[in-house]
Order: sequence, then C-alpha cells, then structure tokens
Amino acid sequence: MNDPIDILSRHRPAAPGPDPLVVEAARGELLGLIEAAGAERHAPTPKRRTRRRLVPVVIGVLVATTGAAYQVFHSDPETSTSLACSPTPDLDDIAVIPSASGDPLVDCRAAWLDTFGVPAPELSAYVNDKGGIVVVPAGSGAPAGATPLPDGFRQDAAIVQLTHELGDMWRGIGEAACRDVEGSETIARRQLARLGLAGWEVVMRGAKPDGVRECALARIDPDRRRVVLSSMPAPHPPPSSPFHRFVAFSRTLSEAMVEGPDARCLGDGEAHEVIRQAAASAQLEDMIIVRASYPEDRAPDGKGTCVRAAVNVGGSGFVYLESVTVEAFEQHRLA
Amino acid sequence: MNLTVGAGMSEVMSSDQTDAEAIAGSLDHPEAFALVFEAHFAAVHRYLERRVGRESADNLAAEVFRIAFQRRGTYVPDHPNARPWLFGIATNLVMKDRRRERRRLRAMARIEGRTTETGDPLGRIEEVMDARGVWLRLGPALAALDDRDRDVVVLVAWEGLSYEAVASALAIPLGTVRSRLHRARRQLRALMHAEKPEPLTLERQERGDAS
Repeated sequence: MNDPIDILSRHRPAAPGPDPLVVEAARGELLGLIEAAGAERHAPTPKRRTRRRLVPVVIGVLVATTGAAYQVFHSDPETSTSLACSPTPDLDDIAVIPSASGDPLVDCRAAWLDTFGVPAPELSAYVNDKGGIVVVPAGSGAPAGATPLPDGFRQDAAIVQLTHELGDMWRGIGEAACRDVEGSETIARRQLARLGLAGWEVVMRGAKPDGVRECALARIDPDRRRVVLSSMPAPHPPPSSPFHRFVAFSRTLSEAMVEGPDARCLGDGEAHEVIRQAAASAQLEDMIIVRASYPEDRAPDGKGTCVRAAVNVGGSGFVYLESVTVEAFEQHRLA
Repeated sequence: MNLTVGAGMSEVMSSDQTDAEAIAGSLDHPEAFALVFEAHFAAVHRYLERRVGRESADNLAAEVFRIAFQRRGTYVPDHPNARPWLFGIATNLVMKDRRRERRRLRAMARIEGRTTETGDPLGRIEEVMDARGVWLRLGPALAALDDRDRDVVVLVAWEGLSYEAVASALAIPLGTVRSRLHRARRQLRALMHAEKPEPLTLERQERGDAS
C-alpha cells in the first residue's frame, strides 16, 4: 500500500490533548461570553440560516464566516464598539473587528489587507437595520436593509477607548493576572472619569465563594450607560501557555508607558519601539497587532501628547494606541 | 460562583441533543453552547496541536470557541455534528500562521517521527523505526504542499473527516475536496520519493503494512 494519505493517517503527530488547566481557562472565557450574551437577550437574535448558500466562497482569505449571511447588531451605531468589513455587499465573507479610531472607514482600511489578503479599495460605510455598522467597497451597493452612514460619522471615541481599557481587564495591561470584582470597580471608575463619561455607573455581579480565586470580566453597556463587572473563574494556564508571555508583554508596556513611577511620556516612534522590544522579549513578534486611534486634530508628529496603550488578547495581542495630553498622562500615571 | 450564566441551563442543556439543536437553542439560551464546548474542545485542541504545536493550540482552541459562539447564528442546522464546522474555524486560524505550521512540519522531520502516534502496540519498535523513516519524507513533503491542499489532506488523514465533512468544514464543493486530494496525493508521492533520506526507507514501512 503506497497511498500517501493512508501513510499519513497511520503516522499522524501525537497530540495528547489539552491540559485540564487550559480547558478550564477556555471554559472560563466562553462562560464570560455566554454571561454577556445572556444579559443581552432582549437584543434581536441572529437570523438562522436554513440553507447553505450556493455562492462559491473565496477560500484562503480570512477568519470569517463561511458563506453565511451575518448580522451585526447594535441599537445605536454611535455607541457601538465594533464593526463589520466585507468585500461584498451580500456579506458572504465578513470580518467583525473591534473599533480603534472611531472612523469605520479608517478602521476597516487598516484591517483590510491582513484580513482579506488584498489592499483595501475605496470604502463606504452603512448602518444596517439593527444598528450595526457594515463597511463594503464603494460603488458595490448597500448591504440588504442598510443605509449609508452620513459623511464624517464617528463612533464615540470615549466608549471605544473604555472598551479597550476594560475589555481584557482580567488579564489586560497592568494586571499581572487578574483582579477581583471589587478591585476592578476602582479601575473602572477611574477610567470613566479619565474619559469624561459622566453619568455612567458601575454594576457588579457575582459573588466570590470562600477560597475561590476570581477575576472580573468587564462588559460595556452603552445603552444603559454602565459598566457591568462579572465574577469569573481565574485562569490557570500551564507554564508553557502564551498567556504568561502576554502578561509579561502587557506588564512591560504598562510600566514603560502607562502608569507607575517609571512610565514615560513617549512619542510615536518611541512607543512603537517599546512595543517592538516588549514583543521581542516576550517572543510574541508574530502575534502583536497595533492599532492607533489618534484624534484627527492631533499634530502629525504627536507633539505635545503622549502615546498611551491598552492591550486586548484574543488569539493575537491587540495593542490600541491612544494619544493623550501630557497633563492627562501625568495625572493618570500617578493616580 | 453565583453567575447568571446558570439560569435556565437545565431546561436547555440535554445530553440527547445534537450539536445543531444545542446551537439552535443557544440563540435564545446562550448557555446551551456550553454543550458544544464540552463535546469538542479536546478534539479541536488536538487538531490544532498537530498542526501548529501545543503552545499555539492552547491559545487558538479557546479562540475557535469564541468565534464559534459569536457566529452560532450562521450555523447550518442540517449538520447535526458541529465538529467539521469547528475544524473549519480552526483551519482558518491556522491560515493566519502558515509559516509556523511549515516550520513545525520540517522540525518533525528532523526529530524523525518521535512525536507520531503508533496505533498498534505490537511490533512497536519496528513501527517507531518505520515512523522515523516515513517522517523524514513526510514532513518536508507535507510542508511543500499548497496550503489549501494541505488543509484537506490533514482533515482527511489525521482527523478522519469524510470528504463531505471536509467540504462542509472548508465551505468548498465536494468536487474541490476530491480534486485537492488527488493533486496532493500526486505531489506527496513525487515529493516523498524525490530524495532518499538516510537511515530507513519508505518501502520498509510499506512492507510492514502489507504483512
């Protein structure tokens, strides 16, 4: 028998399966999503697809749905913190990405090449009938049920930044591992104040049974103007897990450019160099994606401002760069 | 742990449910998706581990289920078993790190098959020796395949998916699965016989199989 497929099937690489601690961490992450989704059951549910579409799907393009119609839901596009980019208005291939700059066209353009494998064409932004933002090539027509967003439309930058800061609080920048719900409340209130989100409240859910270590998972609820902190099991990844390298990477960035006595006000070039060195040191060079969300009126060289970073981890490590005044940087650094 | 996630779980989670039913139920009761996680996480992790190594698999497997949960509304309900769908998502994640996979395949050739499974405990030493010879050729040959052809090959050969399941996983027509396998077979044969690596020969492995 000399069928190479048969030979391969008899010599497949050993794979003992996940360490129980990896399963626990993954389960905890999924439960966080489930909990957040459960809290939003009042929102419209995705439309079920009953038949596979017969339209050929471009293979090798992206991490996205496979030939599926996709609905992006949000009640108000201005307070949404993600958006969908698609090379076709029928949304056969689609990538849902976190917002960075608040400008949907800028954010999709930045992600286009990595996601679809080709340079971004000229783009147009729409809002669908559920309030979700969808960006497709200009001139290709509007996605079904969508209407054009007005020129100059921007998502609320403060809410986008709040999402970056708190989205991965349980393992994000400055948090060596995780923080309990009560400790996280302080951080959440500090961020709300820093971003000028007056009138927002912080709601805590979940209780910590005796002896159980917990982490807080933050969910941003712009419709109700609140941050919901839920208690989740603490992750226990094995020593070989990339988790630890992401934590080291986040800690390095935090200490160098965000808060604490050694944090410095960095310009654009210095910030990117710090990120590059931190990624190299943590052996994460291939896993870090940097997105900037600078205000439009910022000086081209960032003069008079400091670059601030937030890290979110989800497969890759996303570093979101924000530009703040020197005064705001100093105030937060020493808080 | 007093989480709202537990509310209503018992009424929507049943071991008799198919994946399709659990996923459909999770649209209204998100906690039902936990069934899919429990049923397939280990298999998805092993698939990723074979392709990109244990360390990356630890990270990517969780990502597969995060993506799957977010896209559960797109699941085709006439597929009762969600594993091909999950493997498809995992394959898309591997797609982002092709270089790592190719490095890993070549490295596996260098360590001469010590990391491969041997199914039959009898004649184990001989099998290991054969595996060393086979992997000297298999690793580079597999690494040299077109990425999309390799996706099909490993889903069939390593994960035991049917052609139909591969077509579903990769969202390609059945005929495309067959043509990619045909092309991969031809190339693998050519590549595996292109050079004669030193210690052991493929023919020895083949003789052992025939006996």
